[in-house]
Amino acid sequence: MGPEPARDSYRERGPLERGRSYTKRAMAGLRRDERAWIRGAQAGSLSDLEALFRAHWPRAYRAAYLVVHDGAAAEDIAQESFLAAIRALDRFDRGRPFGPWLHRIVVNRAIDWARARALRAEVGDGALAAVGEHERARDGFSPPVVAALAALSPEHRAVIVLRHLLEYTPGEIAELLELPRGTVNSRLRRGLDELADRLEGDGW
Amino acid sequence: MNERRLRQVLLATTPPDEIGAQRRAWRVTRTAFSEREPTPWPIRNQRPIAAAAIAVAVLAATVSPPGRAVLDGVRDAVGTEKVVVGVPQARPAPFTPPTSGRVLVAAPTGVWTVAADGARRKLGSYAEATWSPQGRFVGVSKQHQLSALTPKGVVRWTISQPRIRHPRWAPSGFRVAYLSGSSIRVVAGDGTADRRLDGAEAVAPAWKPGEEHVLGYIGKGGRVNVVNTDSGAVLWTGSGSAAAQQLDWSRDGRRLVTAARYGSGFGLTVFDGFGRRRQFLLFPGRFVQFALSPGGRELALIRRAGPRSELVTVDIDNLRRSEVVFSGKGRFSDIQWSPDGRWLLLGWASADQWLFIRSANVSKIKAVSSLRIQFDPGGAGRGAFPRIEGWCCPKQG
Repeated sequence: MGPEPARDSYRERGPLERGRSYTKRAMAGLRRDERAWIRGAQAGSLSDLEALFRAHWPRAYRAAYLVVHDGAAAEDIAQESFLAAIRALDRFDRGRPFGPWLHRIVVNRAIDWARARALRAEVGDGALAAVGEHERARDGFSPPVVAALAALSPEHRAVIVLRHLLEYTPGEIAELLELPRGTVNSRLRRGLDELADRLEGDGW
Repeated sequence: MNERRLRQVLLATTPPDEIGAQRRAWRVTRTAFSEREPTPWPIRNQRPIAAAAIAVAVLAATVSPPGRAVLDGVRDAVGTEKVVVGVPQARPAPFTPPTSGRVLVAAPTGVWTVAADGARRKLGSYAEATWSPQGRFVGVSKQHQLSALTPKGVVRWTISQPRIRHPRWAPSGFRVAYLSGSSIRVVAGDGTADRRLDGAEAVAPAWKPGEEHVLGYIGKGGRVNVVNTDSGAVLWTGSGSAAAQQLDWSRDGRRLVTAARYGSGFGLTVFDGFGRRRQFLLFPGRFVQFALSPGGRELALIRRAGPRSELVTVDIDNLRRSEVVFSGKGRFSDIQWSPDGRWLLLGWASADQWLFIRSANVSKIKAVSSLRIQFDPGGAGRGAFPRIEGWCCPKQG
């Protein structure tokens, strides 16, 4: 089966509706569909690729944003991660879930970006830091918890996002980030403690 | 910490312009997918498929007797049939570049310079070369050796490191960057203070014009890094690709352009001086090389499209504004702007020709043939096609 003609289905169907469930039960159903989508995309089906994209890109973008707290960088990271998936599609093992594989790329790139940004701030590049602040101000409303999350280290942000947004277990996070499980548990505990300190008095 | 509430808030957080970002990402993803060539599953015991015959192509509408002689004489055997001719009536040798400056060439026999009057000089048996900013020196490398030479080939200094590639002389003249294995290193212009900067992919680094000792390179994993090599400060990093193939700065230093393979095509990315990605666009075909114009915002690139190659000019302020300037059968290998920006020098490996193309008026082409033998005097001229390493300096440095 050859590739289907391209069409802009976002004009026809619009972007993914909000409120998709990330519960375990919903994810089990997604997993069955996902194998079929991957098989179809490997055979050249654009509609199956689109289904894969709709299912995974929004969370990838959100996870990247919560780690880097920069819309443009998050968009960059999520897009590049999906392009990496396209490049590796033919070699991808359908027996493995697509999400963790994608999230590993997204989160590691997001951590790298956030670290590099922190280093720029440390070496006192005032002009660049000012640009960053301006971009963050333009990013729109940030609830206090998101602002508090942004104040944590990239490593702490990453494990909190993987645990509490993407719902990976500490063992799965350890595998994704290639860290000892004890390190993951420690980062989760400290990250949440620091969040709680920052949000003290806000009902947390 | 109320973790359930934390989860609810994180789920409810809306990244900026989520819908717009999703639309943009889908467009890029769809394009990359449509241009990818699925890798066929291996079929056991499949017999090799014989190469198909490739038709001879001639650029000019008519072919004069001298041109026909070129047709008969030039061969580049690909597969099982004789193929590919270039521009008829190409000058065999010697030749002079159509404008001032000196061309630096890396041939199988070594590194050569070609002066504005056509005089060729072999500097030595080196593999790669880079001009110093005013052409007063040439940085050359081979295997485990990096040296600085005068334009007459006198060695000024030499250092040794494993697997040296892609030397690049800084605009200040006081630093040379190069790859050694999977590391990027910087040495002072006098051969001292050689040190490792970082891990890097096998992509030539590029010095930023206008800022002293600021270097762009592709780090491990494909990230674009811009670093002050004296202080070690990372000025910015940008999303890149492990399939990156080239990066370079605009001559005013305000834009950094990268090229990377995407599926069966390639993408150009333009970053601004703060590392913000300004543009990204996918192109069909297989990327070969690009060169940024001396004067402004134009980029010339060469790509392979099936059996043909194309020379394309692109506006780096709007990547969608591009034009195929020249195309031909076979493989284009190199592209270089003249120092005054008025000419493009195109290496046409399959035709064993160089084409000097007037960039403002593409109907003006000056062709030089038999390049292999020109840089292999006394030899059979059967080696690799000479590579254009640089075109420097209107005045002798």
